[in-house]
Amino acid sequence: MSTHDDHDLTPEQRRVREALHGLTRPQADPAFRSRLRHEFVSGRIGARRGLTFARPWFLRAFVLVPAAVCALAVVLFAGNRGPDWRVQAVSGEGQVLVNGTAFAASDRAGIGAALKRGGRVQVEGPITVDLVAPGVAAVALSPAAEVVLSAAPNRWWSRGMRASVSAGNAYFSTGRAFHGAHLDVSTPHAQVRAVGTSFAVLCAPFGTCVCVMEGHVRVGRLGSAPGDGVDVPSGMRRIVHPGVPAETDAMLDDSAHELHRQLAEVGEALNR
Amino acid sequence: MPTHDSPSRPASSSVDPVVTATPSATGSAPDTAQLERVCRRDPEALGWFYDQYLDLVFGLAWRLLGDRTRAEDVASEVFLKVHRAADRLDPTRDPAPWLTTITTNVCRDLWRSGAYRMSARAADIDDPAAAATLSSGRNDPEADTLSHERERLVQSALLELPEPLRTVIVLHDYQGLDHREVAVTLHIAHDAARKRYSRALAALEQKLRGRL
Repeated sequence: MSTHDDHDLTPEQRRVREALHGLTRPQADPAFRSRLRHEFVSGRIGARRGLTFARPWFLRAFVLVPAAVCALAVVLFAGNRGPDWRVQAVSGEGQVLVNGTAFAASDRAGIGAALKRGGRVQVEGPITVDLVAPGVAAVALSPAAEVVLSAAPNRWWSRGMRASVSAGNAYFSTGRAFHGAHLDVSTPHAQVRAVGTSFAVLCAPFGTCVCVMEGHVRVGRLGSAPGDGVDVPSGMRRIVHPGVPAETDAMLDDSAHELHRQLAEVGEALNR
Repeated sequence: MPTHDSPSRPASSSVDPVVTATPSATGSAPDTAQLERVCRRDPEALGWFYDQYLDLVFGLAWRLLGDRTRAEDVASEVFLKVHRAADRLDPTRDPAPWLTTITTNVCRDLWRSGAYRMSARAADIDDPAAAATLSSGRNDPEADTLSHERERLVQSALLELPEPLRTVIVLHDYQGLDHREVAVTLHIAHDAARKRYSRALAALEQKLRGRL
């Protein structure tokens, strides 16, 4: 906005200025004038406390401090929250049950909305579902898989992610932002802990097979603490049967193929 | 041609004991001897100081707040501050700008206070005591009525302005400060003071359009 000199003023503005110039100077009430003069001259005014201008209630410390703490907490919790799960791809015909609600395989938006922060997923029919928490982790569920999935790891704290595979095959890959987090997968037979890797968990009624394509995975028997168990290097698999000693062998080609397919599908979303 | 930087105020009526548009001390050379005695809190000098500057302080507070009681509170607070800081007064300088700054700051503190916000809506600029005091004493009831009505309109419009705009326009057009002095008083840049004044004048013109 430009400032204006007198010659820029409109007649109306000139009238306003004249009116302002013509305002009288109000005089104090004589009683007040005399009382204040006496106090000022005698020095009694110095004994006064002075006006205390109370801040509005919403600007006082007892409101501001808790409000600031709450705001900070909200910001921290909101900022810490990891990404939501979303459906990257669904191939095949069938339906997906999320927390008991059936969705057609083609309803990616519906599945994604129901599964944002995890839940129970059952794949019915010959379909493969690729889920991804962008930058953090991806899970591919094969036909007949039944998995309980937690939310993706948070950014700064509570960086654990859990999954429970009751049946079928689930393929896990982690992204760059997974660094420092851990993933615990349980089956009816085994306990798996991975720290940044690509691996498959094949769960059958007679046992569990964990195929590791990249990174390190520790596989223990059911009931062992997460992180306990045998370290399974990449390219190998660990088979856990109830009542039979677990064994380590070369990784299954099918698992390697499926993990490669998964990475091709979601690699970009994982920033890999 | 006068500009906003050199506001010209109409001469006050010599027959009117109430209308003293420009404070007598503003812009005049300081009475160094008296002010030195004020620094020492000499009662007689304090009385002289009070008589010289009460109208300036009270009038400014009144125009900024539109309320006699609050203007009295502010005047009391200003003279309390003056008394406390008397020994730091510079006798070689005119105290009017200093008093203007203190008055403006006290008003701003008041605006920010919860008590002011709570009671702002209840303020009544038509208080009868004010009307009596504002009477020009010209023995012309019709002219007095018109003049009072005009004052009421302008003061009412001033009070509708946001406080930062009101402060600038009152300091410039009522108190007679130029933009540079307004900027110093409000601790803002010179350009900012000019722009704020332009906005204030435009806003006031909008509110008073066709009513003056």
